[in-house]
Amino acid sequence: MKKTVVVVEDDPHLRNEIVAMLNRAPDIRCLYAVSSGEEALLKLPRNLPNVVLMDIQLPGLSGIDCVAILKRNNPDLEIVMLTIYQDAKNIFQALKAGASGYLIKATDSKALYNAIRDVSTGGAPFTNHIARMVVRHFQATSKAVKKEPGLSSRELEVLELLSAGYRYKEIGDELGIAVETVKTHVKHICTKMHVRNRGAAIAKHCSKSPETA
Amino acid sequence: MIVRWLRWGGMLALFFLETSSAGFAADQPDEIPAVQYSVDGGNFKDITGPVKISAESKAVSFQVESLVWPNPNPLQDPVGKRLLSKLEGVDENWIFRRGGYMGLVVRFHDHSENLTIGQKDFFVDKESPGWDVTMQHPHFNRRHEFLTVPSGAEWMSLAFTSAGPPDGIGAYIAANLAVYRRTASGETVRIFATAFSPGEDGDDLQKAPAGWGREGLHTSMAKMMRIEGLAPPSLAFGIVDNDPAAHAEWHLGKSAYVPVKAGDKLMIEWDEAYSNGLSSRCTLTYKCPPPGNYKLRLKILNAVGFPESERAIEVIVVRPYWMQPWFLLSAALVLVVGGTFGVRAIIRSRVRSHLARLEQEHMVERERLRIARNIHDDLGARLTHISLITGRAENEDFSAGELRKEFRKVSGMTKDLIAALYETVWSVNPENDHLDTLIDYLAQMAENMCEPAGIPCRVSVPESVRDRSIRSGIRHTVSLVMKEALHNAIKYSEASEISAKFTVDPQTLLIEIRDNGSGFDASGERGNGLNNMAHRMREIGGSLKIETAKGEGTAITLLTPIL
Repeated sequence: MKKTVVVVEDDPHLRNEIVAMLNRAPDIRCLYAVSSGEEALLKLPRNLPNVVLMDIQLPGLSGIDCVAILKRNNPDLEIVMLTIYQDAKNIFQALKAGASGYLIKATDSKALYNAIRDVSTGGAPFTNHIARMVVRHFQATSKAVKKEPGLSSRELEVLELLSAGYRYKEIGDELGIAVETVKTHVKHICTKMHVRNRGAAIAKHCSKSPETA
Repeated sequence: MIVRWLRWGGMLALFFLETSSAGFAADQPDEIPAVQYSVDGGNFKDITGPVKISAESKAVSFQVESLVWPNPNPLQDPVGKRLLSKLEGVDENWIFRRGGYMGLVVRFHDHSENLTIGQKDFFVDKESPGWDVTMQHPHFNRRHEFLTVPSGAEWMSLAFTSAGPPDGIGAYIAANLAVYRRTASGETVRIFATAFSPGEDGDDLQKAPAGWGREGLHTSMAKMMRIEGLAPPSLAFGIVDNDPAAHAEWHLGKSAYVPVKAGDKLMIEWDEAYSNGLSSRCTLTYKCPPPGNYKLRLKILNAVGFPESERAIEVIVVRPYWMQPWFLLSAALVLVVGGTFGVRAIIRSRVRSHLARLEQEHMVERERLRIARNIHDDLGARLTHISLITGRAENEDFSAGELRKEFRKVSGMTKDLIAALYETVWSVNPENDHLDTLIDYLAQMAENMCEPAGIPCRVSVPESVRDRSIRSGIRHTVSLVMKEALHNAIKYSEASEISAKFTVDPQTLLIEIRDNGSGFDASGERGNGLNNMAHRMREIGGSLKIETAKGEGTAITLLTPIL
């Protein structure tokens, strides 16, 4: 069963390139591509893919707002943000809104496929950097991460190791668990962050203003 | 025998009274009465020297003690004096104290002569013009008064009296009293005149004229007087009251009442001269005069107005301190000096802010120059490189494998270019002038550099960093120096782990870059690069510390000041 992807990107060159790249992969099929967030909200509900590749910087409705709206109605939809730079602030905002990860646009097909496969199997492309932001986010919203009822102690450990710069494999070695387990933990952390933010995020997005960090 | 003694005593008394009222002040107390003053209704204070009042006061009052003194002769009554005052600089003339009531009283009586039906008083006070204190040649005013006889009246009586307030003292002299009736046809008929014979030597001044009688506590105060220059010449009635506690009067006795008819229109005519006043305590109130020196002159007059003694009180109205010359001068001085300093300070601060602005602009310009140069050199160079390769691929005949190699090169270069571009954009974007974004960026940079080299990078950031602002220049230098330090560590140290630790103090950002590699000799050739890095750190007000030894790894500490 091929993984279905929808591309939301306003730059036509880029859009075409990515679609072409996706269709070259044996296990991936691009359903369709749209050029704006509004168009995405129109078409997606009728024809949902496994993964959405969403440009962060869209004209009109921003990519981040779009993510929040989509995730509200389709919580299982995986969304990977496309970004030109590793712009941590925007990426983090997207993650809070419900994105599962991000990808640099100037990427090669390998990274693209990995991102899609990863996310389809329940992974969350979290970089250490993003993990640091997540830690700080949890800290900011509840005085100490310890106090956060949502994160389990194992998840806390994973998060702290992540933010200290440990790779998934290294975390697995450190904690004595498989890499896949680490990935699952990361996914859970991500989801919990979405849940924590959903109420606030949705409220904000309903009033059409992006949440500020 | 007793009668003779009495007469003797009486004459003696009369003699004393006469001398006293005639203006010989010989045995009167010389002391001037005490005067007190009060300002704006405050308490009365004794006057011990010049009275100083602030010009801001509204009113000043002077209180003169009662002018009644006990008589040195205990047999005699206390003596009263009168007050004349003048505040030099304010009053144009001497001011007479108000007096008592002295003058003519006209009464109307009924048929029985016992009941007084009506009364009209013609009182005077102060001093008549041309008054003579010796009472030898006073100037007389001729008075005419008009009356209508009230109903029920059948008789009229006349009296000259000093029956005013007991404190009143003074002299009243009247002459040539006559009453006329006006008939319906306009004629005047004289119905009464004082029955004097023209003054002759030998007239008995003690003897009352026909029909007249004396009355009062001291009847001796009512006199007959011969005044020179009276026209027509005659004797005059005089009341000389110098006893503040007593009064006296001349009046017509019942036998001499003048018959009148109700409704008659009467005219009364007489000559009068007088000088009287009160001897009780008196208060003089003045509105506060303008700043200056004044003299309050007080004259003590005897009962008939003869000045006996004088007193002057200096009154100085002081300019409020803020009007005094010394104050104005020093204020002007302060203003001038202050003004000078103020102007200087303003100029200096303007110059300073101008300089600061210039420096700021200069810094901004330097930064812009750096960015422009960076884009030109670094990014321009990379793009040129890319263009060259793709150009070549376009024109030359490459095999598929060679092409792939070239494209890989281009691919790599463009990736680098994007990263370089991002870095430039990041460093310029003022949104990133914050400590937390800088730390994030540097941490990410460390990870991005270590990953391709396959060296695990451990990052430690502070829990929560309060928002502090960092200038773009400082950001740039720190990231440059850190990049170099990491580059060295990755390239030379052969470490199995690199760590970057960020610590934030109130004033500084501390970055520790450690590796567990081979270490190196800091004094060697790598020392140059380190010196450069240290110099750059010093330029931004920070410092660089290096701890290394062969075989013991390296720790480079960057200290950056943050505001």
